[in-house]
Amino acid sequence: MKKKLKVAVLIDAWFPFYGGGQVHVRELTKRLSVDCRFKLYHPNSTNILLRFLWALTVIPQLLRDYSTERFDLIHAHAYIAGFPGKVISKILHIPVVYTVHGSNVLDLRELTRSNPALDIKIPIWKYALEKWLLTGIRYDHQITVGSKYLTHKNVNKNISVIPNGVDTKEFDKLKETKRKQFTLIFVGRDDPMKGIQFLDGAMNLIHQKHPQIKLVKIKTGKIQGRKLVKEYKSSHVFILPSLSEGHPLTLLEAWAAELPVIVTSVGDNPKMVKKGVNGYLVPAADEESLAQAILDAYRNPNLERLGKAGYNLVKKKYTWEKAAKATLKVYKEVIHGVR
Amino acid sequence: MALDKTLLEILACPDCRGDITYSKRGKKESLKCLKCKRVFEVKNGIPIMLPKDFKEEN
Repeated sequence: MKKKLKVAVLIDAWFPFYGGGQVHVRELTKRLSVDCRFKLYHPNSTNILLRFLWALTVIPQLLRDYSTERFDLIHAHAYIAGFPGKVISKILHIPVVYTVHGSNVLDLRELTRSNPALDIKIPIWKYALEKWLLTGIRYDHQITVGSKYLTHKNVNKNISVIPNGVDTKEFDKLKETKRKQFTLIFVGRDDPMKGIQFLDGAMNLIHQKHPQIKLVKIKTGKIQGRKLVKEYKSSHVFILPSLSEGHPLTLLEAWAAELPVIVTSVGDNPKMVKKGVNGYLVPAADEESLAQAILDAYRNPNLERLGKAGYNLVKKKYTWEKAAKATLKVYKEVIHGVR
Repeated sequence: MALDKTLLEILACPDCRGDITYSKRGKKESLKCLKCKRVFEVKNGIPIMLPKDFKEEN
């Protein structure tokens, strides 16, 4: 019987907190369970102070478990889990892999520099902490879901880009009629980083002329599975006005639902969204451009074709099977490389 | 006299064909192109929307 790799997974928030990192870990551990045995370490609260505390208490906890578990490697997920992951790796002399799901504060600092009118304050401690966790600590290997992250300074040379995936079969199972009213759908966390204030501004602008255009806002995690698929499929356009992204799952989901998309030019979005092919790309923090894109989509007779093109892209290129295979390759390289 | 809002249905930017939005600050009304961000004055309810390259015939 093939010997399974034993992996300790550290992540500083877990369901019901619903984010890209949590879905990424859930989907990968499911698909890698044939080759790996995972033990998951995460705090039981989403309170930021308790998450910091967890980043310390998980160290002795994992050291105790090591005597029976004999982990081959540690896989920590951004952000805070990078610190205990590195400390444990040093103590136990086992490799640590660190996955970056986005570099919000680093990206935001770039955006505010190129867009001084943008009134967003970034706490210096948050910037320093994220910078240190992402590019200060030297992990044996890093994984980033988005390639935009590679453009930041001092990024670890041992790094692989492993995009998120989506399971199109979950979407194919459900047929749903479109709402009569032209409907935009936004799915995301209630977080200023998602740029919701610019979306609200854009809606005010377009409602001057087209009050019938409707916006459905869904907070991630609030509804999931079939209900979420139904919401996607009954809408006409997906809209993601974020100020920063890594490799957004909701964009992949929207395409899996064959929806045309309007997204901001952040993270890996510009690499995936092609104007007139599978969606619309607009500058971040620009409600007027967002409003113009909504009106362009609203009047586009070939709108559905953009959604189909997006579906074909995710079906071919962004699957969890591909992500799992690439992750397993990193695990094997890191273990053989270190021992 | 204020701008007749139904005009917004038919107005487009003379330069780039972008959509036009209306705003009012105090008594001052203006129109703005969503695409090229050009702002147009509104005088007595009449939008002044001359293309940039407009030349008056003498």
